[in-house]
Amino acid sequence: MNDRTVGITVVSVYFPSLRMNANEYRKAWGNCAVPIKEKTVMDVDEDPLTMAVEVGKEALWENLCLRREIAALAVASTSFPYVEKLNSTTVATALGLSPYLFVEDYGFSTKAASSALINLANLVCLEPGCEAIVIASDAPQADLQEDSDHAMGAAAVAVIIGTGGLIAELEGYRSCYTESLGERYARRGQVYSEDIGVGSLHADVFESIADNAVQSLFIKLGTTAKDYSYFCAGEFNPRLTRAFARRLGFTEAQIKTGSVYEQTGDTGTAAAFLSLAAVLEVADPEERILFLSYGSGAGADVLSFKVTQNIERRRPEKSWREKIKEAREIDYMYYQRLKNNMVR
Amino acid sequence: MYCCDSWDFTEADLSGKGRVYTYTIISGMSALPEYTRQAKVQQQYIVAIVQLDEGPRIISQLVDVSRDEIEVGMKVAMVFRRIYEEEGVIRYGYKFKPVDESGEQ
Repeated sequence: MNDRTVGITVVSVYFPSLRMNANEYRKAWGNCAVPIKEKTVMDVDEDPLTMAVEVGKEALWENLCLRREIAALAVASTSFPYVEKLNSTTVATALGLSPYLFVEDYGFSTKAASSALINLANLVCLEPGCEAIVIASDAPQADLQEDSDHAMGAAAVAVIIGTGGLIAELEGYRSCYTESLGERYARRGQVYSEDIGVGSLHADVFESIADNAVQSLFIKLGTTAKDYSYFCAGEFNPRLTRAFARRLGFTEAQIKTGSVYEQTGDTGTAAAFLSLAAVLEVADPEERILFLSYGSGAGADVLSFKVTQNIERRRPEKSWREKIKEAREIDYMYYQRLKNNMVR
Repeated sequence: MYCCDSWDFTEADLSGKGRVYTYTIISGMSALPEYTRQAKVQQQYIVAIVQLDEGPRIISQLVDVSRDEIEVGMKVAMVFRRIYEEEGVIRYGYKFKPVDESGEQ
């Protein structure tokens, strides 16, 4: 990244058309294995690409009623319908974007979306006057028989990055990778991700990698946790993430704003962006946000954002909580029919 | 494709907004093969003729609405959804869902 100021100009959030209360798991299985109150669910005619198009529409056309000069589009997901054929071209075509565009898929881990953001932030620095759109759209899946299915949600978040009119400036980032395997992986041809179930090992790896990335960013920017008003992160093990943030020095209030897991479940690579969107709904100018994006078997990206005065003019019309409430509530029988007839 | 015995078309950007002109409910047993999977999940689905704000009428499914909620004349807006899958290729397209009179969901 060169010396040009770069950051976020627009954020939009989309939830699929259904949601299911955690009580449905209690009725079906006797318990809900994860700390959700409810979770978001795609209907039979939805997938990460349909969600990406809907959130892209809102970000590009409906937010500011302007056609933006877009130089690049990236779509990030761990549940793309195609494993060979660029999925983001479907999204770009449906959004009516110019064919003279840099278009790319990002996948393979729950930190795919932050990787896309970092890459496209560097790209817009090379394209004066242009913006790039990163869409994180994900619906991780697990077998109905597995406890991990209880967590699986769905969401899409669009972030437009540019060099002017920012609502949050990207001050810097650090990445740290890891080869630690066995948590949340899928081989080619598998629909569901797997986990070898060594929770304590995965917790140690998460804490080590996330801490390395965060401390490295603090050194780079000359900041500490005290300089930040909010902590946001993708939550896959909410207790672990919260404990990590507390050890860094964040208070419950600073963590809670970006914690959406109770309402959405695990939204894969959309989770970290969703947390950031929730914080940007309420953050004030000059406040700093520490953004952590982690992927098992991948690593961590940590980004520092500083909110600008423009945020006051760009608050969303509906909060993410209001958007979730618009989804139709389903019972476990409908959910079973969805899973049993799923086309991936 | 031609209309009114002419090949002379003008491209137009449509807003994707309109109103329900008429509709029918397709029960699961009557579903076309392409929609069997959808019908197995949803049990029935709604097909409507939508009168777009710009004038043309088009056929499309209605989503995110129950049969008790549909009214002829209700305002709808286009959404992007999977239509069906054929030969291993996903066919994407448009459906419509209800919005309030201001155009919001």
